[in-house]
Amino acid sequence: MTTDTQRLQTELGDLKARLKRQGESLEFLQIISKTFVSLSLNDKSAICDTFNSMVSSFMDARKSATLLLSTDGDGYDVVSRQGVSDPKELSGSEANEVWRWVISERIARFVDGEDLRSRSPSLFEIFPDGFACVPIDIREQPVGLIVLADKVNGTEFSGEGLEFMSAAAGIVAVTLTNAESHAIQEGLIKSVEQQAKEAQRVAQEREQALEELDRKLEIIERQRFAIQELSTPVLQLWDNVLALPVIGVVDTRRSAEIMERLLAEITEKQVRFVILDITGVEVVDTRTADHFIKVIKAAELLGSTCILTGIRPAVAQTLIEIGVDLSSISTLRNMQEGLKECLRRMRDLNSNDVEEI
Amino acid sequence: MTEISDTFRIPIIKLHDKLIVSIQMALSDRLVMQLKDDITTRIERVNITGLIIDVSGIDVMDSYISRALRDMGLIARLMGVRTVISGLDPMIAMTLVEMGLDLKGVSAALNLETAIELLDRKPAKTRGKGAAA
Repeated sequence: MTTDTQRLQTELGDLKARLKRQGESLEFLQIISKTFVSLSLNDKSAICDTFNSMVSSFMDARKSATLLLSTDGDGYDVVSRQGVSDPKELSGSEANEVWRWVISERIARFVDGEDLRSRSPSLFEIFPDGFACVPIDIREQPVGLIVLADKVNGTEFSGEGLEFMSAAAGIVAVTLTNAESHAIQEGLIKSVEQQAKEAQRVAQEREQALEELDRKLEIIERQRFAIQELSTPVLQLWDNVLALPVIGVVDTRRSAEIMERLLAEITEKQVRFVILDITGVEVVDTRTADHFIKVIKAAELLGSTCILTGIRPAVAQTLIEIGVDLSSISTLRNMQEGLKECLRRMRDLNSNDVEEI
Repeated sequence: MTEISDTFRIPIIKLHDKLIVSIQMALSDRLVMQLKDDITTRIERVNITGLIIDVSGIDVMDSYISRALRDMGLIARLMGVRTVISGLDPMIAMTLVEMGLDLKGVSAALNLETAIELLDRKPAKTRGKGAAA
């Protein structure tokens, strides 16, 4: 009777202790979650460090380590450790074999000393009493594990302890996933920013190129203007005689400018005669001829007489071949002859003779 | 542009044996017709040999006005009077040439002075090839 009561009381005490322990572990899990949420860690090693120290302190383990799958996927790297002096001991090929084996079980478990000795003497040296471990899974894939060993009070790892470790591993898995997403996000933001910068730079370069082009165009325009100014001088050859030597190609634009300048000069200086000298014009087509005829007619509308001089042999041939009619225009051999003719006509005017063109 | 009354006429001045018409404003269609009438009446009534139309005051000339000017010249010639147009604006001259219009049968002079000189010369021929082009 008394033994029964004692037994029952012991069991009750046991159950109470376990219940208390369960409550504590739940609380601790909450604390871990809160810690991760509030710290918002983004670095894997920082997460593992925090996690490792919290779990090992709760489980009263002197030795602990958190390993993560290395980037090449071949083995496991020690990311965080406590009570283990040399991390290399935990990441050798022999150790990796053991990790692979425990991870393949996919559950939290305890590996006792004897078992470990048979599998890996070097690990056995570090963990002579065996160790408890739990894999960390992200999306059904094991990415690492937590190893705890050497409890302070020498007790073994209980089922509750392992459950706690599983739950904690779940939390760290979520945190690691978050960190990974965060890193990806950061990377994306950075690449977008970089692209934006690149685009801005390209746009700026284009703008500069455009400006450069504009400047060059402006220079070209100025030079063109200067060339035109230089190539169509209007000279006062004599009293009442203007000379306009035309050099180069005469297009519509240039002919309009020639006409404008010549007519302005005629009205300004009130000259009676104009000698249009085309010695410098090598090529003449119907359009060019038409331009000359127009210039001459416009000058005559103002009351000035126009004489065309210096038609080159080739030009003369072309004009006849293409059938340009210059009969209404007086043409002379060269500018000298033109000036002579002008002087003669002026003399006629002064002597009040009949004007004859 | 200033409003001109309906009765306004362009003045026609007689100087020795010439009539001088100085147009110093933009011509309306009415004014052009009126001027044509006035000139022909004056030529008939007064004994003159030359007509000078000074257009230095016109800065816009359309095909209608240029044709009217040419008509006046032709009419006057039929009545035995030589016509000279003076002071044509360079821009107008360019436009006329570009439009392919020319003032056939009408001589041109730089200014009023040269126009008078031109008419004072022996009136044997009108301007030959140059103006007949």
